[in-house]
Amino acid sequence: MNKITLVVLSFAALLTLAACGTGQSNDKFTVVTTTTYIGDMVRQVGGNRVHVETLMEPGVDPHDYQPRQSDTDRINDADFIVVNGLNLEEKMVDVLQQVASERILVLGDHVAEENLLYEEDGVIDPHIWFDIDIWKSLVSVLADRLGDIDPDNATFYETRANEYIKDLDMLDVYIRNRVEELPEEARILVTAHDAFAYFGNAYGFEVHAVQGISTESEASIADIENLAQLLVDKDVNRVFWETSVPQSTVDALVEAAQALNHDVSVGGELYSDSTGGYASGHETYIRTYRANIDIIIDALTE
Amino acid sequence: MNHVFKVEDLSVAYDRQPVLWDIDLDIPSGILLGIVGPNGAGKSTLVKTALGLVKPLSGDVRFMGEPYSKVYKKIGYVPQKGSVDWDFPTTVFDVVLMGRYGHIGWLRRVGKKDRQATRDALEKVGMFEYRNRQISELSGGQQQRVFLARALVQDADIYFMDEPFAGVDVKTERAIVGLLKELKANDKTVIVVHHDLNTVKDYFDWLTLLNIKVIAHGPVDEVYTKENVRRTYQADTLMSMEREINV
Amino acid sequence: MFDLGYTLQIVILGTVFLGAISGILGTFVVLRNQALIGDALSHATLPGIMIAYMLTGVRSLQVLLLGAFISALVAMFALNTIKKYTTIKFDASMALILSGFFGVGQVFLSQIQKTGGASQAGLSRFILGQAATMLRRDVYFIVIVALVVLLLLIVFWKELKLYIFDENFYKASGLSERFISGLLTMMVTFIIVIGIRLVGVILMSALIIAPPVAARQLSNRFYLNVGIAGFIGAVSGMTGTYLSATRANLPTGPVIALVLGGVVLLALLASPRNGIVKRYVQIRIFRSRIKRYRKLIHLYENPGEVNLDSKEYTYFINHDYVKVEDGALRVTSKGMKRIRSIKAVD
Repeated sequence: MNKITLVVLSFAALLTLAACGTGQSNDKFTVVTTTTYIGDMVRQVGGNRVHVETLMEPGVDPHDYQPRQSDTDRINDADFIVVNGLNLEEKMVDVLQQVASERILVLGDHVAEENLLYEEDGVIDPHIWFDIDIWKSLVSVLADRLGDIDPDNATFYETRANEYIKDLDMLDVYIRNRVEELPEEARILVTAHDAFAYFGNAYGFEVHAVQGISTESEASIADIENLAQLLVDKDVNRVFWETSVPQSTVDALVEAAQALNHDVSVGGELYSDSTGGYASGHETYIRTYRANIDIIIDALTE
Repeated sequence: MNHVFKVEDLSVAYDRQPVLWDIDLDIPSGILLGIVGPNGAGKSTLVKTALGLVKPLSGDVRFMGEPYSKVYKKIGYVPQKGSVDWDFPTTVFDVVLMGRYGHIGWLRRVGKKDRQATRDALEKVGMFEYRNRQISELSGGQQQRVFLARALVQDADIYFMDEPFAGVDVKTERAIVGLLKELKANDKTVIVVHHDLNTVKDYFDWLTLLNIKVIAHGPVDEVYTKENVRRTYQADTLMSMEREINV
Repeated sequence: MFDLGYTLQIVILGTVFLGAISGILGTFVVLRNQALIGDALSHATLPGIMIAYMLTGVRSLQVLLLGAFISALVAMFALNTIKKYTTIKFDASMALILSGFFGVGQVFLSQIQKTGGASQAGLSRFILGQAATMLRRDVYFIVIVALVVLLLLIVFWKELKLYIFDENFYKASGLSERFISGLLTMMVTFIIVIGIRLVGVILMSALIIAPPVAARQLSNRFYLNVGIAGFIGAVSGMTGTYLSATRANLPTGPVIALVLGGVVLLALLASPRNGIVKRYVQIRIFRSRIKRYRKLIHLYENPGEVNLDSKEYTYFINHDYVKVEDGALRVTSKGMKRIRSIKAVD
């Protein structure tokens, strides 16, 4: 076989592969999600039967995310859309409201009323993914909806959902074991914004943050000073950055507390409103949560 | 005769519109020269080019054989009154003192000598009692006197004055003429952009008739003729020149 | 006086220095009739911040501010180029640069958000600023830059003053234009760069423009203008910060801008130069005088044809404004003086 034939053949092979690639993705149906957590959930349940597109990349602040025309196009072209909907995607509300209800799954609508947490002023806290029980129930809801749309694969989705729920149970056990390492009075988590209330509620942590549940409002001087005082009063020595909030928010808190002669430092960076990127190795919900709990417990037991 | 200011082959254009074309001038020391011509003749541009404020297309400007950057301390300047914002928050004294800045130089502070020179100049133009006035409170004639005083503290040998009689009262005009003659008497050279033909003979001893090109240049008795004035102000002079330029 | 917490102290220190130096430098810029320059340059920093992030991938403040600095200089260069080679008016080209650069910055920001990367959080904070999370080193940076700019202003005071008052005379005095305009641009850019972290690219120009505008209403001396503008900037920075801190969730930058707006309004109303209140009072005095002396003016202009009622007659006679001469009423020289004085109310 001479060289030319080889080149021609490999080109032909490439072309065939490419054709197969596009053909395959046409067979799958496309699900668009807003955040990385939801994207991962759809991937876990849908497996190779669905093609998942996540609008917000890792590290993107969903409270602050401004949709582009291309996002609107992707939403319009998608077979199915899954969103949080508890005013997490603050700036996408207009776009999402225009989607016909049979094409969209709003996870927030399927959380039992009594499981939802509220802010002091009555606003629903949208960071529901940190409550594994809620997340598990939503996995089932998702599997049902996918089955409705794609009845041929309904059992496939159900099986995968059940397996994934088992994984989530194991994650829950892992977290509980790690939390046990901490004496109860040390279970105080201080972060940049109020993303960890569901976590705190599930695992007995007292949580505090510089900013409220939305990062949209500016951190105020009073917030920082009050929280610094709280660090002193409760003798908290570790606070945490978040990947989707500027580090200076927490740095300013550390400085303010140090000025009160309190020994405090940053314990690490937590994933709050998005999973880790592929490079971090924490690109799934489970890995992200594990990374978070390891950072929290390691820092607080130091 | 000693030539203190010499212009050779000077041409200036804004965009592609010639403003000055092929100017040659020889100006001896100790004269009082008027530059006269219609609007748009390039009178102010000639002065600005001489002082390096406008870049010429071609040509050369020399003062006592040197470029402007070497002799700027020997040259005084009265810009057009309208070229600054008279609502600027400053006093008469401060404006006149600005004439010393070129001499004082970077990083040095205003000294006693500079203040004294400022007081003397104010006295000379009859503005001493106005020294602490805000400049926005001055009349047109007073503004002109302030600018004149500022040029006086430059302690120059050659003065360029751009329309110093514009918008001033008769009394101020007479006072300024007196000052110009005094400068000349002290061997200074004074070059004045002017536009009132009627006073040319009384005020100046040399005259340049300008309309983009130099129409005539020399002692006022020789230059100030009906024919020269007609050529300067005649519209078709301009046109014939444009033809020449285009060729 | 107040029991200021650490964060408040830090932020106030920053806003006071920023406000003072912006007001001081702003006086030079505004008196040069280039108030919009600050606005254009601060908007123009946005693409620099974004490009600096895209190139380095780090969120370090120093790197981003270096990008901002370069971007503003590029904008300034573009402005000068437009001025030199086109006939576009300067204000139009400034508006062009302002919106153009800001737009490019927004596109980059949106692109960065799109492609993610865990460290891009907070880039959008540069648009409106985030004063509360200022750190001690940020404040040191502000203080140092402010002091350097202040020192430069003092050293080149007379040259700058002459340059902004009379550019032609400045150049004719043998002083370097390139140096002084470069210095001015550089200082404005420095101030903007330290300010955007606090108040954001949009509101930064308020700090540069408002204090000098207010100061101009209050003084006719250059050094006083500069001083008052610095004082107004500092006090507004402090007041704005304090107000924003006492009410949780009030953003600091906008509150400072609001305070500055109030100061300008107050200065416009109360200015001894030509304040609105002063002019209103003058007009009222003028009107009431006209009313009282109308008959006197009539009498002066049309002697013998005016009849005074007894009240007016007594008033004018008693004040020596009129006298009876040859059986007719005549305005005295004192009365004429009075008439003339009506027209000059100052």
